[in-house]
Amino acid sequence: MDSKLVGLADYRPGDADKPALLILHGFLQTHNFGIIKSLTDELADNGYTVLAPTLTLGIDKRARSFTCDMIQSHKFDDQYAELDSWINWLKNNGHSEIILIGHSTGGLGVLAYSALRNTLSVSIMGLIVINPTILVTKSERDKINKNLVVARELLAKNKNELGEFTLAYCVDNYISSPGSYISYASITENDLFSYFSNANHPVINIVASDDKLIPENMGNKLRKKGGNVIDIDGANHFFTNGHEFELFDAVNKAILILNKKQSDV
Amino acid sequence: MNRKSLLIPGNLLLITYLFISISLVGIVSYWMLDNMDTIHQAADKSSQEAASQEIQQAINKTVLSIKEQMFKLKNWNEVYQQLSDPVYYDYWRSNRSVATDILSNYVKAIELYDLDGSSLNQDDSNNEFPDQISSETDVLRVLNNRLFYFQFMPLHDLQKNELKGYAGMRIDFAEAFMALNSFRYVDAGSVEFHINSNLKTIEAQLMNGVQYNFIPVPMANELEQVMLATLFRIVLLLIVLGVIAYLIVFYLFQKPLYRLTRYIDNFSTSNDSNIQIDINTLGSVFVKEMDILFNSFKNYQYDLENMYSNLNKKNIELWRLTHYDSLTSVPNRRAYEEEWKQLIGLVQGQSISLSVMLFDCDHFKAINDTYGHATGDSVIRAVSSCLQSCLRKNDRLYRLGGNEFAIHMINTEPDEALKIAKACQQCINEYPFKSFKIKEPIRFSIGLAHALGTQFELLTNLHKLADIAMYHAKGPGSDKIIFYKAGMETGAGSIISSRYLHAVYDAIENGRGILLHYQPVISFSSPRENFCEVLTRLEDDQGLIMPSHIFPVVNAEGLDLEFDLAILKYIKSQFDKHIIPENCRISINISGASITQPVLFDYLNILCPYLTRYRIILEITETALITELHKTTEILNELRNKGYQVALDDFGSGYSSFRYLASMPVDIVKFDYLMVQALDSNDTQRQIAMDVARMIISAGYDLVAEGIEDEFMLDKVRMLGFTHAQGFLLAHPSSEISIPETYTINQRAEELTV
Repeated sequence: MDSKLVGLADYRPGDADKPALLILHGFLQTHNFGIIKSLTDELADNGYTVLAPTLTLGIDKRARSFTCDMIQSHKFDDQYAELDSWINWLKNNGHSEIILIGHSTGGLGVLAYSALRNTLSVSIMGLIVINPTILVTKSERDKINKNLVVARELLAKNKNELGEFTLAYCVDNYISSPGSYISYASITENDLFSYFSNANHPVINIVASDDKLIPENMGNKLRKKGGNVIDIDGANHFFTNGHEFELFDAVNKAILILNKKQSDV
Repeated sequence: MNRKSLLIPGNLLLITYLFISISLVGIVSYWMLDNMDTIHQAADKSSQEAASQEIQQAINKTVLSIKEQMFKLKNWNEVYQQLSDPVYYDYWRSNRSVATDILSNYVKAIELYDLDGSSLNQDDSNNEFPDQISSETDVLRVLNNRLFYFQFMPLHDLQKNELKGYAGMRIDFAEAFMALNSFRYVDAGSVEFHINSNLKTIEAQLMNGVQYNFIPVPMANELEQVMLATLFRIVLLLIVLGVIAYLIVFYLFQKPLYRLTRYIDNFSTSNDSNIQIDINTLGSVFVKEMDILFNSFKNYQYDLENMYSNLNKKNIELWRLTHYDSLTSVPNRRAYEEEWKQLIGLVQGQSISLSVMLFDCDHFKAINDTYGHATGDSVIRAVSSCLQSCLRKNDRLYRLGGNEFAIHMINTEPDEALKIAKACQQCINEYPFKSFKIKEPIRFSIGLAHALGTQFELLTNLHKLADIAMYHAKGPGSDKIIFYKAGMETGAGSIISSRYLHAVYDAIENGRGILLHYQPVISFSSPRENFCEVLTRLEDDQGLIMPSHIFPVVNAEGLDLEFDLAILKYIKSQFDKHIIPENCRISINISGASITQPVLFDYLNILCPYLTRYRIILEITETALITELHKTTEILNELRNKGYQVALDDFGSGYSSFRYLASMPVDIVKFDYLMVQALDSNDTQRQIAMDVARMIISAGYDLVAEGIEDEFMLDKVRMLGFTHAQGFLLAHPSSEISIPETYTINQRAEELTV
C-alpha cells in the first residue's frame, strides 16, 4: 500500500472491558455499506468498541464504493497492510483484545490476513466470518479464467495496461490492471478453505443458508473442515428481509464465544 | 347663397355617409391598432427587460453551477487517486472522468495538473487544454463553433489543506446554459454567444457577448390577438351593418327617390304637351312612408294632370277668346296681327302674291245709336257670315274691331282680289237687313292692296295701304271698292285714319298729345253757376286733331274706357299742377260705354279728394242711359253722393225719353244743338222742343242750351227759361281756362250789344 494514502474508518469507542471489534466490508464497498453500518451500530449500541475502516483501494480517503468501471489498480494483498495499520491504531488507542469481523470478501480478507499475516503483537481474540466468499462466481468462472489468462499474458509481457475484465458482479466492465485483476481473480474456493484452515485465530463462521453469492454448501463444507458455523436459515448474502436481527444475534453470540474462549485460554 | 346650390344629391350624400363611416371605422381601427402597438411595445420593453434580467441571472447561475462542478470534482477522490498514481490517467481522463454521474453532462473534459502545473496527460497532443498552467485563470474559448468554458482550480488535500495539484474542466457553456436554465422571457433557441475576450471577467464577457431574442409577453400577444380578433369582428360587423344600411337606404329609399326624381325630371323636361307619363314606371316601394309619398305624388300628378288638362282647355279657350271675336266667331285683331307677322315671314322674298282687303261699315255708329247695339251686333254677324260665304278656302277673315273687317288672301292677284271684293259687296248689298227692322241700306267701304313677297316695303305696309284705299272708298261719291294705287296716300284725308289711330293710342298708352280746351257755359242768373266744359283735343307733329276725328277712332277701336281714363288722368295732373285754378266748376265728358265700368268708377273715387277744391260735373250722353239704365242709375247716385254733379249731354239727339230723364239722377240737362235749332223752326218741332224745355226746367233741372251762336237764339232760350247757355256767341273753346265769375249771360249780352 502506498504509505501516502489515508484511509477512513467509523470508530465507536465502547466499554474498555469489552473487546474491540474491527469490521471489514466486502468487495469494493465502504464501511457505510448497509449491513456493515447496521452491524456497527448494533455492536456499538451493545457497548463494544467498533472500528469499521474503509479499504482505500488506492484512493486517498476513499469514502465511496468503487464501481466496476473505476480504475482498479489495487490488489487483494494491499488490505493486509491497511489491516495492520488499523489494528495498530486500535492498539495505540488502548484496545488490546480485538475481534476481526469480515463480511463476504471482507470475511475472505480477515481469514487470509489471519492465515498469512499474523505478525502483529496485538491480541486478536478471533475471527467472525460472515458469508465468506471468493470473487470467482460459478456462472462467470470460465470468462474469469480466460481473463486471467489474458491478464497473465499482459503481465508476462510487462504490459501494465488496463483491461476490461469480469470479476464477481462486474461483467466485462471491470477496469483493472493485470496485476490487480490477477490478485483477486486467482483466489479460489480452495484458497478460501485453506485460509480458514490455516487461520491463526479462532474462527466462528456465520453462514446464511440462502446466500447465492458464496460457494454452495459453504456451511457444511466449513464444518467438515472443523469449523464453528452458525447458520441463519433463509437469509441471503446481505441479510435483508428481517434476517438482519438474526445476524446481530449470531454475531453477539460469536463474540461471546470468542470471548469465552479467550477466557478459557 | 342660393339655397338650391346647397342641396346635395341623395346618392352623393349616401356615398359620403359610407365614406365617412368607413373613414371612422378606419380611424378607430388605426387608433386601436396604434394603441395595441403601444401596448405591444410596452409589453415588449417589459419582456426585453425581463429577458435581459433573466439572461443575466441565467449566466450567473450557469457560472455558479460550473464552479459547483469544479467543487464536485474537487471532492471526488478518484481525482486524488489520479494525482497520486497517474498510471492510468489517460484512461481515467478519457473514459472515466466525465462518464460518471458525479459531474454534469455539460462537463465535456477534465484535465489534471501536478503541483508544477504540468498536465498529467503526456500523450494526447490534440488536447484543447494547455499542457502547462501558470495561473488559475478561467477562460472562454470557441472550439468547433461551440463556446467552452475552461475552468481551473487548485486541488488541496481536504483535511490537511495541502496542495495536491490542479484541475481543469472544459464545459460546453451553451449546453450548460440550456441545461441549467429554463426561460420564460428568452427564446432559448435564439441564444448565441459572441465573446469579446477583452473584457475582464467571464460574466462580463458572457453578458456582453450574448445575443438572444426575447419572448413577447404571452398575455400581451394573447391580448393583442383578442383585440385584433375583436377589432376584426367589429370592423366586419360595421362593414356588414354599413352594407346592410346602405342596401336598405339604397333600395328602400334612395332608389325609389331616384326613380321618383328621374320621373319628375322626365316629367318636367318633357316637351310633349301630353302630360301623360305612366306613373306605374315608378315601381313598387316597401316602406310605408315611401308608399304614402308615392301615393301622394301619384295623387298630386293626377290632380296636376286634371289641372293641366283644365288649364289646357282654359288656355285654348283663352286663346280662342283672345284670338277670336266673340260676336262673329272669326279671328280678331290680335289674331290678325299675329298671323300677319307669320304671313309676312312666310311670303317675304318669295314670288307670292298677297292681297289685303279691309271692310268698314259706313255710318255704323248711327245704326247702333238708332237701332241699338243688339241690332248693330246682328248687322255685324250678318256681314261676317256674308263675307265668309264669299271667301275661298284659304282666304282668312278677321274682325278688327267695331265694324271693321279684314281679309288676307295669299296667291291672289289684284283682279282676283277685286273680284272677291265685289262678290262680298254684292252679298252685303243683297243681304236682307230689313229683317233687323233697319230701313237704311248697309254700305261697306272696301280698301284693297296687293304686293308680292319680293316687294318688301309694300308688303310691310300692305295693311296701311289697304287702309288708305278704304278711306278713299269712304270718300263722298267714291266707288265703294278702291284698290290702292301709288300716290294715293298723298291725297287729302288719305292718311287720316292711321294718324288718328296713332294719336289716340299714344294718348292712351303714354298720355302724350292730350290737349284740353275749355268752353264756358254761362248761367243766366248767377255767375257762380257758370262752368266750363272740358273739350278734348289731340295734338301730334302734324297739328291739332279735333273730336270729330278722335271719337270715331275711339269708338271704332272700342277704346272709350281707356280714352276716358287717359283724359281723367290728364285732368288730375292739371289739378295737381294748378293749371286748372281751384274752385273752378268744370264738366268732363264721360262716354256712355265707360260710365258703368268699375275701373272708371274707381278712378273717379281717386279724384274725390279734389271735389273739395273743384266742382266737377260729369257729362254723360243719353245713350248710356239707354243701354244699362239700372246700373248707370246706381253708379250716378253714388257719384252724386260723393259730390259729383251729373249732366245729361246731347239731350234730344237720340232716344230722348222722359222716362229715362225722370229716373236718372242728373242735375243738368244739356239740350242738343239740334233741339236748340228746333226752337227757331215754325213747325211742330218748335212747340215740342219748347214744351220739353219747360218741362225739364219745371222738373227742377238746370237746362243748358248748346250751340248758341246768335242773339236771337240767346233771347229765345232765355225766354224759355234755360238756366245756362253755351256757344260761340258767348265764348269759343280755348286752351286757356277762363270761367267768367263776375257776370251772367245777361251782363255778357249787354257787353256784346255795347
